[in-house]
Amino acid sequence: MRRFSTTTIAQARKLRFESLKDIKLRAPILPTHKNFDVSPDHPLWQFFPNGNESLAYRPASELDATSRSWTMSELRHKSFDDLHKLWYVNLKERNILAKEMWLLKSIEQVNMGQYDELDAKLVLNQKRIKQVLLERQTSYERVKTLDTEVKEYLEDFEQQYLNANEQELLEMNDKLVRLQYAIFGIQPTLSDIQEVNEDLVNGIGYVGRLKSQRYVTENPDCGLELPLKGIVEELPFLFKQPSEAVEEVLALREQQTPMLPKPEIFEYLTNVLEDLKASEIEQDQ
Amino acid sequence: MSINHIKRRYQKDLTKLPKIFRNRVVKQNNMFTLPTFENKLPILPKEEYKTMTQTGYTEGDLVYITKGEHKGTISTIFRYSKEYDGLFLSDIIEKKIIPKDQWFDQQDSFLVDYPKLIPADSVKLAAKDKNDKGEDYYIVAEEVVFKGKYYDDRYKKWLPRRFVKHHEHIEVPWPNPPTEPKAGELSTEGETVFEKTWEFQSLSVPPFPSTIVNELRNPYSKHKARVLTELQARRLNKPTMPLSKEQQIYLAKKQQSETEQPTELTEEVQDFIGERIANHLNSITNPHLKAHLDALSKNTINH
Repeated sequence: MRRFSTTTIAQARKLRFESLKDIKLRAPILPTHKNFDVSPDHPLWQFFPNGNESLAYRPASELDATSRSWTMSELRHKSFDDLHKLWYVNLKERNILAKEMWLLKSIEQVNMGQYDELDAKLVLNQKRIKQVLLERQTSYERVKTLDTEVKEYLEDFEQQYLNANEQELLEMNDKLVRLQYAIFGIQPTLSDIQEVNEDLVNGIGYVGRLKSQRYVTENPDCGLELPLKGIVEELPFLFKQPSEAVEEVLALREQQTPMLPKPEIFEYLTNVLEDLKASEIEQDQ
Repeated sequence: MSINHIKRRYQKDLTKLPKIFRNRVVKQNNMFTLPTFENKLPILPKEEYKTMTQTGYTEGDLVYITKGEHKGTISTIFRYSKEYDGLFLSDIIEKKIIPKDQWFDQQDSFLVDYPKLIPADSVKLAAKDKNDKGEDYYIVAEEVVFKGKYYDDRYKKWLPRRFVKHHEHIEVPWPNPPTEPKAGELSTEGETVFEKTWEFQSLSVPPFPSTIVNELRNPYSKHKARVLTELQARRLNKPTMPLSKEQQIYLAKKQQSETEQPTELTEEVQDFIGERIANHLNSITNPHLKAHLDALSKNTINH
């Protein structure tokens, strides 16, 4: 145990007041809430139902007893952003209720049935939101395993596209735009593409092959030798007319542009997409 | 964790007790209550609570009592108690004693009329209709079956249509709800609820950012199939024992013999078999047998 040594205690000077009359005493400060100045924007007001204008707690009669929880079928219609917002709305309301219940417990209020019931409804909402999101994730993961089915569908579509006459081609092109998004996640407008991934590379390859084959069978004198070599030659077919794309590919071949090695494909695509976005912004201005 | 969850841990939960102990605890609880207010029906656990589509009736429906003191009477349901799986009917009341300190305003007697709790198994759904002459008559359904669904605007939810079992041309419509469902402070407007903001459109776009998956699923769950590390796999599997030279030679020979499996007879083997058969036939001395074999050799088998 640590103590003061005897010498320090002996040397310590005693506190002395020379004249007690000179000391001026102020009025004692009473402990009331009026002595505290709380900002009306203080973040802790979020724990109260009506912000800084609310009472310490709501009586049970003022609680919402009539509304019900969201059902699973209702939540299944909602986007992730909506569900995310709803989750936090629930959380905030549950925090307010929890604060009120702790307060009631401290003043020994026994009957908290209505607070409990409302809280149970909010908990059910949160559980259901989680369940809906999990359902979506599982379906997404299962769909990812359907490789053979997707491959068969793409082969079928390729045959239909190549054999379509000119009247059907317009319809098929619309269908191709939808297919690009449905299977490869390629947005109709390129500037909307957020992420470069393997699906995007596969999609560009598929679309490039399809359109180039169709063009070469229609115009055998165009001088383009198939197959296309790599992503640099396939990309123009995605966002240009086939005739323009063929000219670009022929120009690339004249310059003898080498084929991109695999590790550099992602970097090349991100650069191209960024350039596209920048040029779009310039055009808008 | 909310106060609700914490509180429930220390609450006495009758439903967690085995059934034989439940009655004893109910008796203990009723020891100090007035005799007319004690609960005779057992409290059900939460999992056994029934909804209106499970019981087949709801508040406002007519029921026919099949057992007990009030057997044979038809009355409307005033309230259904899911905790006891019992019904309070509007006409079936009993007298209860209330001590003076619990009297409400304008009460002038110890005896008060109080609705009687009737167990659900002693009640059948009834319905009222009019015949061709315009006279009222009742039907009682032994059992109810549900078919199809429709959106009931009175209840603001989808409800199944109910019919009398084995007489499925008789539909018993749901009654009007005792109070209309009202929107509360926390309610969302119907239009906003039914607005569709999500659709599964692309196979390669995940439904939400991938960082959230671990918040929805427990990555450390013991029920999750995990991949063993090499060290764990080595610990779990017994090691392969070294073989002696003799064993190695034996196994090598065995493997070789297994791999050599001739499918067709070679010429050498065919000659060998032919020679053995010829020798055997030449060694036969019995004339009868020889004659028989000669006859056999001339015979060609036609399939």
